[in-house]
Amino acid sequence: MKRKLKVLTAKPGLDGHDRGIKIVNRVFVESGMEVVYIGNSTPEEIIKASIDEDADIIGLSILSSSYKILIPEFLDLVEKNGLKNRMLLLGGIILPRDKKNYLERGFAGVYGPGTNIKKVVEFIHSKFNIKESDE
Amino acid sequence: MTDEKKEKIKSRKKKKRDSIAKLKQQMIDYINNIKTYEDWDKFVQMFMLRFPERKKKFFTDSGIEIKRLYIPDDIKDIDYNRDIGYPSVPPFVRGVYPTMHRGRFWTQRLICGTGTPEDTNERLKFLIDQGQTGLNIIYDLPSHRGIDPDDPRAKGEIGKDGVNCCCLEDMRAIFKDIDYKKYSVSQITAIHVLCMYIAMAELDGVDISELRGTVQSDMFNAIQGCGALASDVTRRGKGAIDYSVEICVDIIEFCSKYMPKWYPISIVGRNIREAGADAVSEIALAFSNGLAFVEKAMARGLDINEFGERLSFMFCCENDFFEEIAKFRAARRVWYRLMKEKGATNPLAMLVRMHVQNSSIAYTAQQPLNNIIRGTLHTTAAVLGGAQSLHTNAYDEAWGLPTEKAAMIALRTQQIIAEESGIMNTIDPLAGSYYIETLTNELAERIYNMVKEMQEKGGSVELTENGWIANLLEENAYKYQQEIESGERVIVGVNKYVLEDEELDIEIHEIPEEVAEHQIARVQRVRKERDPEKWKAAIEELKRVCDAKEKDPKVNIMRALIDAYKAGATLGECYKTMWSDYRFL
Repeated sequence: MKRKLKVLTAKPGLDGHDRGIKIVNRVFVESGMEVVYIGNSTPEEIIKASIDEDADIIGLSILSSSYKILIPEFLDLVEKNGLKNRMLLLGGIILPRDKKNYLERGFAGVYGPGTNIKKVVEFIHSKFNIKESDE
Repeated sequence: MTDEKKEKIKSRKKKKRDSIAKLKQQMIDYINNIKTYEDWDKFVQMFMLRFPERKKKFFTDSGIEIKRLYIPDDIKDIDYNRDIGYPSVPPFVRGVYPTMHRGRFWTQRLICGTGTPEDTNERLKFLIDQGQTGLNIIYDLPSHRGIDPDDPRAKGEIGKDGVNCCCLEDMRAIFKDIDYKKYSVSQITAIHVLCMYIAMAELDGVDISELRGTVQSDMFNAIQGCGALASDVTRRGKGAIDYSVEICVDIIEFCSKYMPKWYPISIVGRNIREAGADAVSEIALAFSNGLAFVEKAMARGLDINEFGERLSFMFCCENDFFEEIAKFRAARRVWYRLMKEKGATNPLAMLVRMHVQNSSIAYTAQQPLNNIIRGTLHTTAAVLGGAQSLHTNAYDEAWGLPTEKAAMIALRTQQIIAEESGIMNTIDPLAGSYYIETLTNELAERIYNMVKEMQEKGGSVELTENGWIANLLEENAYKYQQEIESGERVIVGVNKYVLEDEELDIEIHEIPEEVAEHQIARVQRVRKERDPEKWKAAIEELKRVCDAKEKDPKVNIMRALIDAYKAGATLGECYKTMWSDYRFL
């Protein structure tokens, strides 16, 4: 049997709004992925957990504008730790210019409120060449 | 065409016309003779053969099936005095005050908290100038979590989701040149900010018994509404939530004695709703949490007939217009019943005085100006439901803290409803509506039963610790998302009437990073400039009191905390002293 895709999800910083990430976690699990959710964490903790868990995908959720500091810091650490081969996903309230910047710097997807999560799953499947029948 | 053929066609047409006319006459005769629901229903069934309804079944947001029509029969069992009552008279369905909004409008208070205390001070003055009648201050995440701005955990967060405030000097800057004793001041946080506020007032020579306002302090809403916070608390081990309830009771006890015009707690359903509850579970969870405070306060020997008068509530207002109105009405009836069961006899101690903040979940990042309309509907429902105080979210809510313009429109929404619509010129105008009264009954029953179910399962402390509440909210939130994705639940601009390649065309309020530098510099200066002897003595006293409280929950920590802030202690220092890591581990 093929190894399941492993996703590490986290909320960088102190922002406690976790309604969104919890739904995403559940949809990912139901789509056949393995999810490790570590909740509120610093960028360093997220990087460490991603390495420890050998995650294929790192998914971050943040609804505070602290993302402007925390996400660039996270991206620096991704480069420093050679994690650019992992798929990076970001969800939350991200201004358009920052979204553009983060997509250029290595995020595969940046999603705002109102995102259809099934489409995110389809996107992941297409990137990892997974067909529905493989599940 | 021959004449014969023409005649034939003509006569066929006439026959058809006659038969339609006959059918129409039959219908008119039938309609004219409809006297009962059954007669009417027969007619509707025929009508629907040609014109079916939009959906097979209709439901309220919380899942109550809605009938096609409500009639006098639906409310025939209502006993007016027993089930509805006059305004300010049990069971308070029609409202908590004798004249309600005819006497005075609700308190218009927009949440305000942005950047540095100075930034917030400026925004508060702007809102006061625009006619706001109460103040409502929200603090940033480090201030909520007891973290000083120069703590590494505060990185990136300072002044972002509210104002940063970690010492007495910050509090003074927030209220600089504002005659705060004149206003009802709501503080969206807990004991620390309240103690800073009291410290400021005492040092200003203000008689604290004259202070009016509310401190949220209900930590259940933060723990249940934000799973991330839950881990913060539960990591401290069993007993931490119980200890938090005791701290809230400290506030209740202190305010009962020294600040009789202050509401020491706002029992919050609103944030739980935003985390996933529906109209029923929002109120049921809030009430179950409320009972936890009531029970602890009674165990401390406080009189329910006294502190009951100072309990206040905060609810959400979501999209389902009539259900929300009925929810507010039902809530008053149920809390009255629960307090009566706890032994309260003073009617003023059984009231639901409510602040309402409309839903943020309902607001969309897409086509953000549409949120002004959503805000108007929510605010109208809250007014019709009898709210005492209101915050309307600004249209840019889904993008960040409001710009001045967005905040002003939110305030104007309330002012237009208050000054122009006339909807509050009589009290509880929807009473007696077959639908509203039926919904009020149904909701009251469901809320009451759910509170009872939670009590039987161990109550709020237990159900928060064991994850029962978190599961319930997650399940609901997931269902809600599924409904949006399937299109069953329509959100304009999100899953219907979508603008392809929509560009963000509103101004966004951004918090500059200099805010953090400013706050870090201040806290470090405060630490340097304070009298070290006084500070040390105050922190030691706080520690002594907290240690004593761990052994005897009846020990009240308020005075020691107020004095610590007066002595120049910072939030982070006081928080660490209160929650030193060994406690509960």
